[in-house]
Amino acid sequence: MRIVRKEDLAADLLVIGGGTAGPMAALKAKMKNPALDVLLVDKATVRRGGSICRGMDAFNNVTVPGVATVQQYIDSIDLMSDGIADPNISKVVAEKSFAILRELEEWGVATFPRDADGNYMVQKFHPKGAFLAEMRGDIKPAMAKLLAERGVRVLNRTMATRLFAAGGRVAGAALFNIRSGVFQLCRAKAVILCTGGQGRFGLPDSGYLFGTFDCPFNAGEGYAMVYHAGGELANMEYNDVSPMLKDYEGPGHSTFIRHGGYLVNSLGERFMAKYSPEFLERAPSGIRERAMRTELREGRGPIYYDLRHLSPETVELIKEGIFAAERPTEKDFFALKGIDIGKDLIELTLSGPNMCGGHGPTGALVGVNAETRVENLYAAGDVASTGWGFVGAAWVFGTVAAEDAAGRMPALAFAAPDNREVAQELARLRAPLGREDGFDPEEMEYKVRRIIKPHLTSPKSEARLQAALRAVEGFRADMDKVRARDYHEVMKCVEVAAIIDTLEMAVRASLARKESRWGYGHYRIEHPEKDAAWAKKYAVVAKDMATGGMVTYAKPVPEYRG
Amino acid sequence: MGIKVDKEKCVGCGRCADECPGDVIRMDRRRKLPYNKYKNDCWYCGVCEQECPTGAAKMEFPCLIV
Ligand SMILES: Cc1cc2nc3c(=O)[nH]c(=O)nc-3n(C[C@H](O)[C@H](O)[C@H](O)COP(=O)(O)OP(=O)(O)OC[C@H]3O[C@@H](n4cnc5c(N)ncnc54)[C@H](O)[C@@H]3O)c2cc1C
Ligand code: SF4
Ligand code: SF4
Repeated sequence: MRIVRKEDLAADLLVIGGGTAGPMAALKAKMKNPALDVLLVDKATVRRGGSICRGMDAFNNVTVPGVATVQQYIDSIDLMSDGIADPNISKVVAEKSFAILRELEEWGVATFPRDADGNYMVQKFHPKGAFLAEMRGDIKPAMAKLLAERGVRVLNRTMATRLFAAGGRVAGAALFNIRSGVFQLCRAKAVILCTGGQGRFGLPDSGYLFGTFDCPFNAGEGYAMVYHAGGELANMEYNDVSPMLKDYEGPGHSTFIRHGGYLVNSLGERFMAKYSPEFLERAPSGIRERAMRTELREGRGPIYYDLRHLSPETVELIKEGIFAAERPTEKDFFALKGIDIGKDLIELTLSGPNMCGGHGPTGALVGVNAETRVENLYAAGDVASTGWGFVGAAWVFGTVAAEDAAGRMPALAFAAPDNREVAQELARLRAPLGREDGFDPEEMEYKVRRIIKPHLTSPKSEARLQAALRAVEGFRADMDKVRARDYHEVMKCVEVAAIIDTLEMAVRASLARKESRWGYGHYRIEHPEKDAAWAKKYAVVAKDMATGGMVTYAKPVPEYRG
Repeated sequence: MGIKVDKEKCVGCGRCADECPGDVIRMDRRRKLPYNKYKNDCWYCGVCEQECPTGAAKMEFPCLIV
């Protein structure tokens, strides 16, 4: 078995990741300029890849006129991020999300149920304002059909492993087909990266590497690709920890809470009242995590969702949303465990930490057009730092990136990738197949991920972080001993390398931010208070292109421009 | 755990293997049946079930969950 390099590809616009943001970006680029040659690649398939593979029960973060205001949205994200999210980006999400809801409805891609008065059903989850619209529909195949109609070229089972840049401009990407083993360089005038966040980070309690909440097929390769191409990443120190159903890290939290569910401890107390009397269950996630960990530590666990006070109609709506639209297998899970969610308490556990620009603030630092520091390289969706943006930010920034790239395209030219870098990348992929013996990629992945929870969960200590840095060095050396038996395992080797890269980013950013912020989002034992010097500042992670080493520095969050 | 197939109902179309986002499922060409090649890479998403035209595919939870 050998990876074969085939002829180079070229496209005006290369979109990497066909989940949520990617298909929207490809479609909008074609809508803006049908003459553009747009190529969309996904290591799964565009029809079923990514976080919303089966659909999603709510369009999170849509500002429906008359229901909530742009200012409320900006204020909510400001509160949740404690000032470490670009308010100009929140403004773009708030202003453009409703038009996207209407388009999805018009195209027949998704439906949005309305109440008896004909109004969209929108619920409150944020500290201020209601931004969660009920959503139904088999979104992905419908989007895939539109893409085919518009003439977007698609390559499925095609993984991007590295971006190439020349003189600070993006030049293309290395593509690897995980089934045929074909390697190709794809040159592009502009690239929109939509590969999702880091879903394979902290080990889930279930005992399975892939039993995660966030989509485990997004293993942080996007963060690694932006980094190696010279981009900046922000909020890598932020621990994205969500309450999850015990044993099955399936979704539920936002659905339960937005419909009025409670979090209770084993004494039946609605414990959030002690920690966040103002926002209760809707408190920012790091505050909620700290509350839950405190309850557990002090012996008042297990903790549960309690939906028993909700009306039968509301419980039906919850069931319909999760079982029909978002995660039908969750129905089987509850049946297996004998849990009736309207009548029984639902035990939960804490996931992650993961890294995500959708459920959190982590990702490539981008401007209001989704542009990164690397010229003509855009990032949209969970791979970008667009502050708790969920599907709303993925669709909005997919759109914004595509329109900007398509608008600028006449003036753009191909940059020439460095042939040595391409050859190096091919050699990196070939190496694990060439080893006669070695560690399995799964073993290596377990070894790396098992240190994440103990070393990165708040409270974080300097000693543990330093120890994690030393471990990272060891992991990199161990990667030379990992053997792949087939192309699927080569994919895993690339993923494990990305997990190691993102682990180093998380550790270095955690060391850099010498303060505590976001509750348990980032709590440092040695620096338990907020430090004014870090107010309105990102801890940025980037690659020093001269030395190849990882650097961190503080960078001001942009002022609100109104 | 991946997919569990009802052999009576399966028509060997391969859609489950084509669409599984984790590349868990592959087709046994000789027997014209899907099998779990990478069973521990399953996300319990249920795409295999949804894509199956005959109701032959069922997502199965793994040992530590059941
Ligand atoms: C279980 C769950 C429940 C959620 N609930 C809600 C909700 O109710 N409402 C809401 O608004 N949001 C919800 N979210 C969040 C929302 O789904 C995400 O924020 C959003 O879908 C992210 O879109 P994306 O395009 O960034 O990533 P994704 O949709 O995950 O797509 C990423 C794509 O990139 C591909 N890919 C990854 N790496 C590579 C690579 N190296 N090369 C090629 N392709 C690659 C993947 O195969 C995938 O198809 C939920 C997320 C999850 C996981
Ligand atoms: S449940 Fe999803 S990941 Fe698991 S085998 Fe089926 S399609 Fe693949
Ligand atoms: S999709 Fe259904 S019928 Fe087709 S191969 Fe898979 S199990 Fe068999």
